Amino acid sequence: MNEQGKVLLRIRDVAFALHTAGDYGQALNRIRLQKFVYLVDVLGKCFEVLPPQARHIVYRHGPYDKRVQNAVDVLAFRGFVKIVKAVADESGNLSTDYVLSGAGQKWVAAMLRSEVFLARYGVARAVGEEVERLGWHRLRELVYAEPTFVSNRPLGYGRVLKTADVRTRSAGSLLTLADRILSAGFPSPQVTPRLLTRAFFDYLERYARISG
Amino acid sequence: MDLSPEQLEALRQSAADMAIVAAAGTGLDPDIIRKFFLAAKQFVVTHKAVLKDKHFAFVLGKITSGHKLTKQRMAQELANGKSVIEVDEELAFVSAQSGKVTLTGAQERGNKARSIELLCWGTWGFSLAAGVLLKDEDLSNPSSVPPTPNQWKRPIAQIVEILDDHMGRVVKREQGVKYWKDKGKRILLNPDGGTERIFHRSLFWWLGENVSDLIRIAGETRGLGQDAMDILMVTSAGSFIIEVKWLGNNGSKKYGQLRIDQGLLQVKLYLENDKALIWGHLVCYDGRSEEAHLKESCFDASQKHADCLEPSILFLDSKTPSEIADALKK
Repeated sequence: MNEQGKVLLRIRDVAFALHTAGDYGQALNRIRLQKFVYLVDVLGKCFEVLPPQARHIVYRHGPYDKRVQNAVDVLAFRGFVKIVKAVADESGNLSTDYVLSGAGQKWVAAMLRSEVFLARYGVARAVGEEVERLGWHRLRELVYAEPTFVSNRPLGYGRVLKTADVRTRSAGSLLTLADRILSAGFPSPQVTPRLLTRAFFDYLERYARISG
Repeated sequence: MDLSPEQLEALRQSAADMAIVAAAGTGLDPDIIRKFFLAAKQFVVTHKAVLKDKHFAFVLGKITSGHKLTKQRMAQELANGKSVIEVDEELAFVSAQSGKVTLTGAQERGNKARSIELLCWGTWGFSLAAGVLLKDEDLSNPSSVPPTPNQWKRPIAQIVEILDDHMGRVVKREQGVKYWKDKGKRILLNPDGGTERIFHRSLFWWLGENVSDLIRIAGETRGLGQDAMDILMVTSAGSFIIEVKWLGNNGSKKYGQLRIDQGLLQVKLYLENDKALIWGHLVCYDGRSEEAHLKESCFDASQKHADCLEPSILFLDSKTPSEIADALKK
């Protein structure tokens, strides 16, 4: 897939992230947007949604994919996303909060009439429900507790986060293990993607608390 | 998967969340299950003066009546021999039926209906989902004490040493579990649910407390259609099965050497049928004579799966410490 195609996929992901966050009264700044999209990528495995070819890397404020920023810039330029707040921090970096505009809302509604987008949207909704349950202010610590990021963060900026790689200490490995833990002993286990997502977020929350 | 201590602990804490695990076994909403267990346990604790000698079960029902279960209603149903009480997650009464209030009865009921159940013997509660035992605990005295360093903790790889610890600290001389009906004649107890259950429950508890790399333990699973006397342990390295048997005489049945082979065959079937299992072990608590223990504890190697360890045949001593001292003097 060429670069343009990868950005197009991220345009969809950003729209779903802002739509979900908006339903909970949340605006996402560029850093929180990266984190939300990262969690959607991670949890895609539970819902059998393939991870994107475009991947996050370890960066200064957590997992980062430049195409997510490109995507939100494109959406803002086209009027699908509104910038509701722009403040400069001490270093002069501009922090902007994004929400979907009316046109953006209509565009997402139109996308959801097509079945091809429903699975990916379902993952975003599941992530949104879990972040709402645990608190949006905890988005950072939840992402920092994700096993792939935990393993790669000490190795420096630029490391590619292969979240589905079950050969390493990754989210993919942990989800496989969590499925086994939950299924153990039951004659007909009912480990749905939603339940696995719930268990995974519970794990992130506990890890964040334990590791302080 | 190689986990850090913090990751293992977080995973262990998550796996200890009964509502999530029970939801995996039944397909029900974990929040509803959580409410049910909380309400049912609270009811037992609040009315323990009335319920302390009673055996009964709360089953999570799917219909809501809106009428909360009261102490009077409970007493009335129990007096009428209706010990299986169906309630909703808020403990609103749905129905009452007569039924077995043994662990086996609860397992059969749960396995058939894929239901959630709190079986109570007084204030001792067994939490079950789809017939699988998740936890047994004294509801009036929940273990809220912070964990202290435990010198008996060992990784599952040291299972032989773990079994030795359990024998030495709990089983030997009936320090932590009663199993003799007649010590002199070496006749074992045969309680409701069978002799096996005495050893199973004790070992289940010990493993749950003392296996350092354990993430989840499940008891009495019937998933593969085999005998229910087994313990399933999940660690980050894989899942392990322990089959518990007894040998000797319980006044009603006698089991000898053949029982060892039967147990091994059972473990073999487990390992062949469930690819998630990476290792199995047969533990036999031996109530036979010392002579039979020494001479008739061999097994048929053809019945042993390659991933099954050699069985542990653990002799149950019936002599008192002074008798042992006398024997040593001679």
